Amino acid sequence: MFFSSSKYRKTFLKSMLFVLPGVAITVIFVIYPVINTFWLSLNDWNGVATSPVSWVGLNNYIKVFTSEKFWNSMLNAVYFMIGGFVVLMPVAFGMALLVTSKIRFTKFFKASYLMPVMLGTTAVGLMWTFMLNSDFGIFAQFLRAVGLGDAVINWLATPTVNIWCVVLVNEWMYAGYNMLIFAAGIVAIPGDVHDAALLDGCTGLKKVIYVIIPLCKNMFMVFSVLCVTGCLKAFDIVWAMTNGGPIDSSATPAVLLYTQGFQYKLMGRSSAIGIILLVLGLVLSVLLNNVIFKQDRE
Amino acid sequence: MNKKVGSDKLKKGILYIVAVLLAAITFLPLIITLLSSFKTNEDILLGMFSLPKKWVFNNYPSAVETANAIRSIGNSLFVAVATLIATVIIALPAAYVLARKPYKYLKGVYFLFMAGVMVPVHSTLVSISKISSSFGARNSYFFLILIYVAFNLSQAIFLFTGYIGSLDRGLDEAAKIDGCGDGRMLISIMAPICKPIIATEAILVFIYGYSELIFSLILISDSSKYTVSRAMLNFTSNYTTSYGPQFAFVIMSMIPMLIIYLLLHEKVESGILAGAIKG
Amino acid sequence: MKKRIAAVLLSAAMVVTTLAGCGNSSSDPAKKDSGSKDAQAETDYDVENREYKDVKITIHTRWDTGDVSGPLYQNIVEGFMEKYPGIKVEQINIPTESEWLNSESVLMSDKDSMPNIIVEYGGSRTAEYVNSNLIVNMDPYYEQYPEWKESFNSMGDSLTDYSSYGAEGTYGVPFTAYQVMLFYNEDILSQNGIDPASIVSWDDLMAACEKLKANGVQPFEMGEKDDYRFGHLHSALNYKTFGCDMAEKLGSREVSYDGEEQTEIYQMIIDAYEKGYLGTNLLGNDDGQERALFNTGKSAFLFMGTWFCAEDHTGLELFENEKIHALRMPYVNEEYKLNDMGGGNEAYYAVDTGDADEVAASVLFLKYMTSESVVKEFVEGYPTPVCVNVTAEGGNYLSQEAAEIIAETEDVRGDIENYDSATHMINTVRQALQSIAMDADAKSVGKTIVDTIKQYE
Repeated sequence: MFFSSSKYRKTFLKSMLFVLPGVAITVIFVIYPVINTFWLSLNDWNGVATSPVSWVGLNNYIKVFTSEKFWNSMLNAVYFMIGGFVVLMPVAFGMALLVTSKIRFTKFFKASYLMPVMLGTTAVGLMWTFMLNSDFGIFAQFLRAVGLGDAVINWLATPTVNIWCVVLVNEWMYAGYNMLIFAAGIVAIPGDVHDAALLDGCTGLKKVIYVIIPLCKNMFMVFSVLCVTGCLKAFDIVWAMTNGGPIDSSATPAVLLYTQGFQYKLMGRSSAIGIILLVLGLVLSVLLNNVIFKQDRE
Repeated sequence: MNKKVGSDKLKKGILYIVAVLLAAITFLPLIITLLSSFKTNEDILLGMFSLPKKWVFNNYPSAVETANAIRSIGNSLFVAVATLIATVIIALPAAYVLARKPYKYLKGVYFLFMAGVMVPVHSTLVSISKISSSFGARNSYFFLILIYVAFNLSQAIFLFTGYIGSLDRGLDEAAKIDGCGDGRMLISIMAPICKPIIATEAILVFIYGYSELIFSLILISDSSKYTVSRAMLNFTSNYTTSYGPQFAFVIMSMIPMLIIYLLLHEKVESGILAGAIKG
Repeated sequence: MKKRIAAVLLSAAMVVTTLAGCGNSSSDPAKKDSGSKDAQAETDYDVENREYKDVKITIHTRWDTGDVSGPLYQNIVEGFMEKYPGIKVEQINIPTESEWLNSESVLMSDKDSMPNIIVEYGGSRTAEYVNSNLIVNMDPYYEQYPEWKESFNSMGDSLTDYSSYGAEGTYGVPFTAYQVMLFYNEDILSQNGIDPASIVSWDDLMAACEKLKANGVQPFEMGEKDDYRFGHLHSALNYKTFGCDMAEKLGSREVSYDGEEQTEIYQMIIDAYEKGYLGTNLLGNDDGQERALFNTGKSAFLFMGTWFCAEDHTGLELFENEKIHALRMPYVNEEYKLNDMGGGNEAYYAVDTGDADEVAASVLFLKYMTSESVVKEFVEGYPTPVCVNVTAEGGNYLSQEAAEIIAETEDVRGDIENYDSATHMINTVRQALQSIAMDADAKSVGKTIVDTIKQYE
């Protein structure tokens, strides 16, 4: 025991004081609603204040797990994740390398890459829906101009194609955001590490692979968790671009949660989807934390 | 020697090409949107690539007039800044303790915050609406900001804890030996070091606060308190069939963001610089 | 120790939620019932002669400040507050359908947050509120003011009558009305040698479409991205083929959605779709683009509700030269020539929040809103059919044409899905119809609907 017990208690209490405001806000506005949602997921309710709430046990979960729509929405969430790891991560990390490299105008490049995220989802969705319009949008116009008019299809109305369009617009919007995370990791690498690498003749791609990536592991972890949870919850951009349609083909679980709750007025079933998403997100991030990035924690 | 310089130049050249290409992909849709905001409806429907046949400037006044754009932008800015400050003030101390202190209960606290990242917003709507009614907090910015903070806290703590975790512990050990308590350590050592990640988070929270829609939709009904998303929504409604003013509003809603971003951007730069110098 | 505290806190929170939940489920309706009985005993229905002091009412609408009608609605609110200074009207205006739906659902989920007046389109969504005893029954107020009741025409009846859902009484105050019609571009038709007067049956219309298509002219450019487009076509074709009674038959499931009759309707839409008459980019265009294309001469016909007449068409050549005209929706079965899709469009419902002053003020507001002079002023600025008997002057040429057609209509119904007791039908049917634009056949449309019904039982 290095500390006397009173000192220990003092720092202990201080530590609690530091986390308390955050905990309080989270409990009131996040945890309490979740508990409420969980309770609702075991009941049927049409969302009208004076209507009865009736206990149905696990029925809502059974209905969700046996519905085709739900599994289709899960598939769309998986597309989001694939897009996140295959497109977004390399692009964002590449951008981070660019803006921290020794080329000029990094300030300008950084500012421009980050800009899309500043625009707000509604504006971005509106903008890209017009770009992707198969009559007058830029892609249709471009394809027709180079004689590939036959390749023009209704991108946002063709199942699978539409969700990928949304995924790519999402990457367009958030590449700069994730660049910031990686860039913060890269600049936190101490200067002597760079010097040592230089002395060892470790430059260019080699340095990226053997020095920068391992040292940014924490940031990759941060990215992975944000990506996985973000993909499960993806709502705004999908809603802005396709409303989840046509016929729910581009709906993500969060969109389904919304339509089941507020359009179909099945509050119980909607709550069940919410709880499934929550549990799935927790399980996945704990897995990421403990399995894939385990050695890093040591 | 010559060869090396040549290959270096080539490498740099490639970097520039990639950088410019990425920037072009980023800017193109915006330029097209900007052009469209000066077009008539028919002109837009003809195709988006071309310059406006006839430059129409009254798309902008018509957006300002009907959407009360200036006030709503001001409201959003206020809410966004307040949310940002509150989030950082609440999250940083918590993250510091979570990253540096060994107490067992902190694992649970961390898990609690992480659970927050996972919560889908829509499944909390009904509950939060009820809480706000029972507190009589409809139309209250204070309440709205608290909710914004709650939904940003998880991410902030996640990012801060990750960042502080990646920092060398030697620094705070040294400070501790100098007799530096937790409070001072936080303000005079951690806060400056964490500048880059604070800047990152600040930008994210700011964007969230500025453009958030769902909660403001449900909690704010007083039209003088509308945020910019609300105002934009009222504008791009089902029955408005002219696109020019819609594009104009999109551009207008972005202008304050871009100005502030340029200002804030300097802070990000200097923060990163500070981080690099420390290394 | 800490763990225990956390556990206690958690379980306390659980108890609170559960209790709150129980409150919702059992005690509330009971309380409410006795409450409203008490209130009824002492309620004074003479809302005109009541003292109002600092009463605040909230109205949840889809009014759009940017729309032609926006300032007119503001005039109504301002005029009312001037006349009754003791009442303050606060507005929540959300023009976008999905957000309006979302917001209303959330606000109506709790007694403390309910608005005092909501706007709705009738049907099962409203019926759910009515059956939860949340909507004020207007009958005693109409007894108090018989002349008020008499001022309404029959168009809005479908919005106020919930007897098919098992609720006695009259709910809500109908305001605007509509009828779905066929609009055409005179220039395009004459260039292609088509006489608009010859288009009276669906076959005539299809023949005209064939001719146009052969000449390289697009007949329709429907915006099926908004799935109500085929939804309306499906409803209208039903009334034009089987008469308006089909609404009740289908609603009571006497006729099945995958039966012969309905398959016939789907097939009519499919035939037109497959020949390319309905649009070139059905799922890419929304109803706004649909109108924009028609307004600029890119399509010959537009199938739309009469609200189209009242929209802002300034600066559009076709309207300034009066080249757009209205026709009655063509019949499939001549017997039902004068059966149409239409009726009350929007109605305003006073919500029973339990506060007698607020309810009285809300009813007073609705009474003011539907009084002759106010409606007259509204219609003169926004020439749309209304559920109140007024003789308004002015209006544009197109709305006058539409009014003449409406005057001859014998029977109308609204969205056919709304006559079903399940709330989800309007979404279910519209989504299934949308699959036609993705090459689904008539059988599978019917099957999708019936399967979905089973899923939600």
